[in-house]
Amino acid sequence: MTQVADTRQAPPGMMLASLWGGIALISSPKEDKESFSSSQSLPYWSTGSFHQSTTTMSQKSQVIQLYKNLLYLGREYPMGYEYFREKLKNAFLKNRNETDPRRITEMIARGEYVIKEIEALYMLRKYRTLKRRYYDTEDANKQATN
Amino acid sequence: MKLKPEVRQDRPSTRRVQGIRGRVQLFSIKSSPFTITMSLRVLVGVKRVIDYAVKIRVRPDKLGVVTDGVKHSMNPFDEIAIEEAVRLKEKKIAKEVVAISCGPTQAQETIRTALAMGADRGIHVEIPAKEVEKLEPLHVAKIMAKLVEQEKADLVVLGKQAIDDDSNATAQMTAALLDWPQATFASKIEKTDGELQVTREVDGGLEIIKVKLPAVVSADLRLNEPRYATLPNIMKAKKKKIAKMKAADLGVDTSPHFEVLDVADPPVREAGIKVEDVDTLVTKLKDAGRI
Repeated sequence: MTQVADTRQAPPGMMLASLWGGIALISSPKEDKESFSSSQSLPYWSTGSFHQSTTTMSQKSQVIQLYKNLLYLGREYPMGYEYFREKLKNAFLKNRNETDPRRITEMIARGEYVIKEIEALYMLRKYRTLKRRYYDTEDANKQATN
Repeated sequence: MKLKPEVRQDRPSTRRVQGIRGRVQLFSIKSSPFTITMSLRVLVGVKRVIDYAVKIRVRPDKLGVVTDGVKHSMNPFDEIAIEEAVRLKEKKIAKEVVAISCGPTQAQETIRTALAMGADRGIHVEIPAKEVEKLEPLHVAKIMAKLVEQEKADLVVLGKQAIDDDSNATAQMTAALLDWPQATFASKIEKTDGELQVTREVDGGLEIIKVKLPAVVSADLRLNEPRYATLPNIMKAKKKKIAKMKAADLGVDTSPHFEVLDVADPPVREAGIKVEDVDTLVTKLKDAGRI
């Protein structure tokens, strides 16, 4: 491959850590069993459905569509598509024995939240690169350091 | 009571009349206070360029950069232009958004991305792969001007510049060829009656101007945040049409006016040298011939 992704951006590390935290959340149902009791309030992301209409699709096809969407998004991932695909696959495989439909809906909602986070990551990365390339001048840097 | 003349009415038959000595303006009397045009047709130009995050390498023949096998995507400023046009459509100011790209066969992927972001249809002006490198802003501007006349567009939104050639010329040239007003480096667009109020980002700060429609606008970085074309949107966009044509069909000659002589990497920045006191500094400067 002749291309090298420019990963010297500052700092995708923070966003990536929160991203994988989000995906790790998806991938640990057993640990969260206590937190999903009805007495506790659900996180804000578990009510909305950003990308998929939950009325017409079965849960299985929703999960598959979510996986496809995340895979499509991962093509531009700063740390490489293969890295993203591996993490995504592991995260989904950990939950393959889940049967409670309510919990599955929450996990799907969390997956859509992760989609939003990745989109925000890409948008920020692009904005910062372009701003640095076209709008930050050497004079501005000198003024900042003086 | 003085009757105000309105310079442009939004009916194609009365748009422009080319007189012998230039354009004849048609005056018509405002018949009602509500002449807000809610039916703009917007043309947006998009370009397929090397992805912004890719590290570019100069070709061995030193006449260009390596493009084979390199990831390409839509020019970031063009994404902002499409986003703005789609937002105008969502605000019901525009009725149709047409995405236009001049390039090789793969430019259709770029048009598909534009359709996924919300454009209604696409036009692909096919340029043979060998000529793509030599395509100049002037050619693209002539193509855009011809398409504007064909499609009877009211607004042209282009990206400020392409990240591969950084010409920053297509929007200005298109406006000149069409004899339309131009609002370049737009960081905010608002519609007022038959005009656009545009905030431009210039070196001195922000400049707010009013341009009469039809007009050409070039999008700057802070105009908006473009949406990401997710997989479901791309699937939906496959139903939208992309018309194909050649530059010759529009009567535009794409023979180059420039010849690239040399392409080279920028010089590597040398490491700085620390000195202990002013005398050493002066000696070193004298040695380097700077004083």
